[in-house]
Amino acid sequence: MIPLLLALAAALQDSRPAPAPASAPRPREEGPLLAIRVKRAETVSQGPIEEATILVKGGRIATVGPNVPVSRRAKVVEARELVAVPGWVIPFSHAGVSPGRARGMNAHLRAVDEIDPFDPLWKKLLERGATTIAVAPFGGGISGRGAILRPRGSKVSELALVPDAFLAVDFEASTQGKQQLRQALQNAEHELEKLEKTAETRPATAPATQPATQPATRPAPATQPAPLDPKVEPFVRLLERKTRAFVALSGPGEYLHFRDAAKDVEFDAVLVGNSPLYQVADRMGDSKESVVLPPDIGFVPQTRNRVNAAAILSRAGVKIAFVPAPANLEGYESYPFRVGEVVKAGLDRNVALRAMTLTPAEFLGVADRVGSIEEGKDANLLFFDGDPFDARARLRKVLFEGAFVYEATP
Amino acid sequence: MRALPFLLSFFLLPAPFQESKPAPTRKERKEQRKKDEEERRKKEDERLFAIVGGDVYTVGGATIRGGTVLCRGRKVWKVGLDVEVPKGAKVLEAKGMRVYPGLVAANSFGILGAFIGGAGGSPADSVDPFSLSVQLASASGITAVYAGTAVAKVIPGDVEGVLVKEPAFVSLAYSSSNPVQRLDVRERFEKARDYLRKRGEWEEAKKTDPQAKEPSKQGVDDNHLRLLRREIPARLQAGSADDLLAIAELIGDFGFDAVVDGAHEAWTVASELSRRGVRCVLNPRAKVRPDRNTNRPSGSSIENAAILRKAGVTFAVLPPQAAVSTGGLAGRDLMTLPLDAAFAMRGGLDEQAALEAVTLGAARVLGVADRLGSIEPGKDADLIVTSGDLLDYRTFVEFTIVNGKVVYDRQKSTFFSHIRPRGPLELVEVGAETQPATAPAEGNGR
Amino acid sequence: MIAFSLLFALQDPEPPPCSGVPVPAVEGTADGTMRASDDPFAHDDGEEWCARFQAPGAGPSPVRARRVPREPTPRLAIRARKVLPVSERIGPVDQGVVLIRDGKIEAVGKGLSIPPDYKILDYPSAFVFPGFVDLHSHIQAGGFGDTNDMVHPDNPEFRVLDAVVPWNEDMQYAVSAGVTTVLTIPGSGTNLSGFGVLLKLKDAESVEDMVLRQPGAMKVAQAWNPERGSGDLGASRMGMSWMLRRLFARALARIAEGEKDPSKPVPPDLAMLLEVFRRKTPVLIHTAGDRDVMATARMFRDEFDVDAIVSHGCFNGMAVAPELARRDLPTNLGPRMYDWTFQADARFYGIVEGFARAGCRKISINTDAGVVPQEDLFLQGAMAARFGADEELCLRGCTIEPARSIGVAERIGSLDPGKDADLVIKAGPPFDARTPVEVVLIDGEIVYDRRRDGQRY
Repeated sequence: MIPLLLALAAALQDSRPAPAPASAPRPREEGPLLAIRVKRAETVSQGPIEEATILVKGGRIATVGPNVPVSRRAKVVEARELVAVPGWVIPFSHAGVSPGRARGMNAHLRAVDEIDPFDPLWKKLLERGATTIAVAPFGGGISGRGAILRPRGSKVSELALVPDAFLAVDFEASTQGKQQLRQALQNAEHELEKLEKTAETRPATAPATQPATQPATRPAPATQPAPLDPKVEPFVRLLERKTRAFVALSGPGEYLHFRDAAKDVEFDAVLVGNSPLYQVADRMGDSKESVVLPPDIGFVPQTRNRVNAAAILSRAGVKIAFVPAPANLEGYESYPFRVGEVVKAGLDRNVALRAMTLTPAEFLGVADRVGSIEEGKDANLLFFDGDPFDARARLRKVLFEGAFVYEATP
Repeated sequence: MRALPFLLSFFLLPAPFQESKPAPTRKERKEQRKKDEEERRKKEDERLFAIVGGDVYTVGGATIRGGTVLCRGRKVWKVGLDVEVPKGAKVLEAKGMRVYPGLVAANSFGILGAFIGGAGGSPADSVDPFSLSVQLASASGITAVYAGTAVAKVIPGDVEGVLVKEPAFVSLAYSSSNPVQRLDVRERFEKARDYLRKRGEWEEAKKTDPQAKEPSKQGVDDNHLRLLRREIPARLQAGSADDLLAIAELIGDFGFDAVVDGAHEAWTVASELSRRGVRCVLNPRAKVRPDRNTNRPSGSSIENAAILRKAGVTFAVLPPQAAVSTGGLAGRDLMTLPLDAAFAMRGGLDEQAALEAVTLGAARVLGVADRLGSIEPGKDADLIVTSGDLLDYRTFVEFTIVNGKVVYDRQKSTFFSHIRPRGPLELVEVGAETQPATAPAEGNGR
Repeated sequence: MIAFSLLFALQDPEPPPCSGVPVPAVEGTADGTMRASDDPFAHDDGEEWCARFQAPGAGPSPVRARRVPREPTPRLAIRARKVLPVSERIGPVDQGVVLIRDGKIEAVGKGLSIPPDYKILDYPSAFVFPGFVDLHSHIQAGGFGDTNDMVHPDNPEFRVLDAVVPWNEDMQYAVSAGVTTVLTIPGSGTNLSGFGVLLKLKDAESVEDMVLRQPGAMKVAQAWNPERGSGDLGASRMGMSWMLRRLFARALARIAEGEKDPSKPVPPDLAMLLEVFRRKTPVLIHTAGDRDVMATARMFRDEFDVDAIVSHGCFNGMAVAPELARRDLPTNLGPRMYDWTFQADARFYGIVEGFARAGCRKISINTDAGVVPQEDLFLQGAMAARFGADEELCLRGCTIEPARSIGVAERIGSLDPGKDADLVIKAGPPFDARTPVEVVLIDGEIVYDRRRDGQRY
């Protein structure tokens, strides 16, 4: 297993047509102290804390609690009328990516290559509370590799929280669509088996129990496996559980077809769907699926009867994350209000708040950095002048990595 | 540099932990998944489901009044009067109801091809089992259709076990009014026949002369080879007697199996079609005016089906529109498929043959009669339950069963449940209830 | 557009001589008066035309039903398993006998003694019931020919009579399925598309031999087809209704004038229309959807109070069925037999059942032939029953109710003695597709005999 990592690390490096921009560095842990006193902090990870003080050091959260001693050096922000929530983590979008890619196998393409740091969109999204944004390439079939962005910076490398974060698949229930996915997974499995075989034969000359001698007996680079095809490589990583797939589905029928096409292999998939998926809630619950949904109250097909898909799926044991809809500024602006409507219609409030913050962070594999108000996490905070789910509440301030980047006009 | 993570990981994980509880490898997990899947399938194959007490119209054989249909997994297991229902079986109490084989539509449009306008390829890969068309077809008692190039099942809410046969036909165009097309088809058949003959000779010669040269397959149409070998039937569109006779002649010349759609003048050439084994898909209500330029019988006839039956031609009936529609024009599409069996009866077909025309006959036309079309042990458990005569215009399908599972229950669906409601009827598991077999009679304490 | 205006210019070379006629106040007009010159579609032809085409006092129609001398119809006795007379006086009769004399029903009953000079039609396993009547049919020319003439939006001068192809194939098929009388009408291409004719489907050489009544009814299409191209008056319901009201106001004004001066000639385009307002000719209104069915009830019952028949009524027209019931308006339902979107709750609602449930009593069923083939009128009845309507109501809806609605119930629609001997002998119940029609009689003559003619349907 361990030599395999090495081999693969080498393979990955070699296989890429061009190096992806480096990940944005984490905000510094040291720096000026900021103490924000709020009416309530919705920490998500440990529930709400009334009359809380949030201590921010540099770009990260140092402490949050009801009785936090504040050093004299700290700059104090009195926001006792405001409610603090973690910045929204947007689990799926095509923000800043140009549309119009033909259906096909484009696993080698990267959304990050499309990102323009000077696109005014980033500022607009940030001002509407989107502090972490996943962007996926457009295009049917195997769309390409998605990136996770922090929407602030003047270089792509600054924006790219994780430049090669997930594999985006726009699944199509058709013979061609299913065949394409099956084939890609099969190829990857084949490659992986080859790699595993190489790894298995090596311990004969370099037993894992003698790590000290390993570097000396390591085969020469000339016998390294050939670099992986960049169209295959993300699938190999998928099977190794080192990345995940975000799979866009048009409805419950496509869900069944997707599971049919992918039934022979095991990998992590987040399903990007819509409210009709409630019709397969039981099956999705049994399979413990992760689903990204728009915050809307859908219709029972063919009727005017409303159905709260998020609530039904959540109760069935499906992990849900929300994504603003419609996918425009209006959708981002009304995002908490729309989620609030879903809460009114029966979704558990805690699940709903988590579905905008920590759950999408988990889906994207960045829950160690963002998604909750917790010690050590990036200081991305939104301040509302009321319950964020209340239609009357307004976003007053946005703190991004320790700096206020937005203040609403009074 | 590359050794760094290696070293780190080694030292960070204490050796005893690694040995005592090794995480399953990818391969092991894969084996496990395979085992789980086999387990699931086995369980599925042993699933028992019975319909008890209904009049069973087997279509393949006699009708059994108050009989039992016992299904095991996806198949019919036992049919009869004295079938014992084992413990653990799910039972549908159908006393006073009728049980028929699921209806088979010998052609369909738009029912299974819900995604991207039917360009999705095989229905097994593209059917939207939640689409309105699938649900309506199922609510109308249709359990299998011919769609595109495949025979497929209509299963609301599932994509497993959809495909029955694919491809079911080679489609062929051969019209009496298009000499160029006819020439082309005949040439293809001739080339294929020549090839088969040469190949036969070569196979003979090979026995004595290992150097014998294998004939070239250059320019030989594979489809026509398969037709001549009778591996697959042809499907053609033909209505007029001229077109039908042309096809019969073609079959006479080359020898292959054929299914003809339309066939409104088949009644005028029934014995020829019978002689050539042509199977027909027809609409008994077709209205094609007689040809005024001839004094032989022409045009459509309500007696078409009855005459074909007498001549021994295998056929299936279809409504004027082989689709489902919510447009309001009732009794003209697949939502009332049995109605066209009724119209065939109007033209003189007997009831048994009329039922066949939407079940076993259709399955024969589609070449899937080994699996579908009648209630017989070993065949697929695709059934419908009705509260009245299937051929009566008032009768709705109460239950549709595909692959041994109830996929439609009228009272649980919205579509027709408010029309002469039946009242709830739940599946009961034999042996699961602890209720006494016979309730104590009232007034026993007297 | 240019060609269109040119057309009107050619038709109306001079301003109409009688423009500016004051008319009674009509709901929906601002000042209670309308002027012909206001209307770009006006085609008031003036008195010159009147003089040329019509002598004063002439009736609306030169056509009279005419009997061709034929072989005298024999006296007939039908013996059947069941007779369904659809009568208020005679219930269903098992092992019934129907006696026919001089083209009329003489008697219906069980075990009637059959006089010796009666020819017996013995069908011991058959059903006998009145010939079916369809009030919404377009089979005048066989197929969809000659249904729409769409130059003017309102065409009160048009007669389907001029387009009838007697005993065409559609009629022959129809008879073989038990349809004996149809009101065949113009299409819905224009707002007021002309006058239909009530025909008996007999093997006749001339139209006159088939006519039961001319004109049968005026045809109005309230909406859902007659909408004109954008930019034209009548592109919306506002324009269509205004033009209808304007025309009706003109007719009413002419009636008032005629009362003052009976010698004044009637303009030919108004001749038939005036009979509608004298309630001698009913009007059949193609209308659908809640808004438009309600508009029909308001305009033709509340406002002008003519003999109106609401036809179609589909596409959620059911929603205002209680309003029609309250006005006791006759409804003529079809060709759609269910509404899928009625409550948007994924249910199929039977239209006939819906109107009946709302309390409508005068329900007839149509085919809108050839939308549904004319011969499938019985199937329309079957489908009405399938989707929840009472079986007897459906049978009445194909026989006596349409006869009453159109005003010929004294002649047809039931097997009451004295009525025309228009009846069907069928091997099974009326709506069952499994059994063929054996014999159809019109005026006591066998117009279809399965054994004689071959089974047509």
